[in-house]
Amino acid sequence: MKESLVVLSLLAIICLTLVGCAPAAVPLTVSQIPWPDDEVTSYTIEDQEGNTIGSYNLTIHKENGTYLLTQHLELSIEGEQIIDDITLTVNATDLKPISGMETAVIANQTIEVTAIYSPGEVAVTATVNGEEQSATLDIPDDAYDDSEVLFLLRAIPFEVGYSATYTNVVPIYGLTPKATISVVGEEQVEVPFGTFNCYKLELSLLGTTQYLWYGVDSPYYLVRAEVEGIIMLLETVSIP
Amino acid sequence: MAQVIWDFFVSWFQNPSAERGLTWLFLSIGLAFVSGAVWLAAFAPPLRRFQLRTPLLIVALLAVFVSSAILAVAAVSFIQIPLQIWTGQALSHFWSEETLIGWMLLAGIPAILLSGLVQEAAKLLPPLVYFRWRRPKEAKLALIIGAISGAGLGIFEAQWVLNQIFAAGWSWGTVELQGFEALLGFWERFFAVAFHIGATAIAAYGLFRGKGWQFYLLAAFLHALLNYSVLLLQGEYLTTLQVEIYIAVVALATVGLALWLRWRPRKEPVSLEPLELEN
Repeated sequence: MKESLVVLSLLAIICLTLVGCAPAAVPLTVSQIPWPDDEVTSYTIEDQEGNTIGSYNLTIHKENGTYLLTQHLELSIEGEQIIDDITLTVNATDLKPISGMETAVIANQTIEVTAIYSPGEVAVTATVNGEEQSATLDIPDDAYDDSEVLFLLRAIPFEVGYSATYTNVVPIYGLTPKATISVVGEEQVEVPFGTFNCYKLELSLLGTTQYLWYGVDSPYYLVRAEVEGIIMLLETVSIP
Repeated sequence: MAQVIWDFFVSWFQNPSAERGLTWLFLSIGLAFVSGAVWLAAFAPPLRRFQLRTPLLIVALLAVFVSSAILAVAAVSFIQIPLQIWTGQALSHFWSEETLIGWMLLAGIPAILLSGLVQEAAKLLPPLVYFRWRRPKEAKLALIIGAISGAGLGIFEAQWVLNQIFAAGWSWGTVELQGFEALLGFWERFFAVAFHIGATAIAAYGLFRGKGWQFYLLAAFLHALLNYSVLLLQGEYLTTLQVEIYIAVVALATVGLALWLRWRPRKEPVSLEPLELEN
């Protein structure tokens, strides 16, 4: 028995030694709110071959110290239609999420998700084809809703070399992974709306890497994004 | 490619779940060890027969355990992945992407076979070195040394995967929202550890018996059979749940064979012959 304990203790020590220490992380900071009180940006979505497969609209509306961020996505992948509508309310000062509502129709399956944020937790209710599940998730101080990331990244301190982490809350899956965002360079990007000098951002999340290009000048429009094999290109901007 | 491979190798030594707190890190490592301990206990290693009071032997068995993990991860990173990439490039040279996708169940076989051949070879190397240093007195001890080696990679891989799961923010809330699917990662790791232990135990048993190549190929084939589930899932021939059942069945069959070799009532003569290594 003694020998077994010695062996097990040594094994545990070795394995703890083998796993390195987690790298130190700088929390993401909101350095400015670059957009006006009302704004609509529209995107065309292409696949890797350049075929148009959908559209995406992002809307910002300021209301009583909050921003109402809405998104409407229509996508057709391999004959499968996806329609996704998201409405998110965030604090107008620090962009912390307050509440969110998403309705997605994917292959005739309807998914509805509501998320209510309070300090340290988020209450999630998900309804898939009429079947309701609910849970409360603990979240840290650096948590932002997955649905606001495209907006949020317009507010970071843009500087090549900047890198920060935040907790990316994905209410529908009940997950809260850490994400790392880095400004990796500057590039000129051509999209239907024009040609822009952009900051290239690298977003690492759940083992995947996505790239986003934001204009170098305020209001730092999202110009192009490559997310999960699809490409978003800025088509129009309107300020109602 | 070199950077991707290096990043993959380094990722095994990182612990992203620690960012959520040390509890999650210890849970990752703890669950991995518990999985390994459960299956190793089934072999009931006769520790006294290893003369574990001798510190050198304790160190030697630990070396088998640790080196198996390191060697296998290095082999996956620097041998298996490049070979799989080159194999894929070679296939793409002859067939279009559409054809390869359409014939996925066949076209994916070389990459799957490579995973079995490389990983089982890496896991068998520490027992082979051990046997050259000190030949076990009986086949059952050889089998158990193989099981310890298999546990090395199995546990290391389990803590790596569980680290990713916890780093993604897994909590009981995830289970409440996703249901049983949120537990499949744990289910899979539990049986994957069993598989690693069983496969290397079988191969080490064969090595001791002078049939190293035959038993190594058997272990590699079983490993490929397990990994074939990836193709069945990608091709949508099986659902995620069915794939997890498939993995459990293959793992149980493998560890079952190893346990049968361990426990079958057969009087074994004490081997006094020097170890014969096969070419």
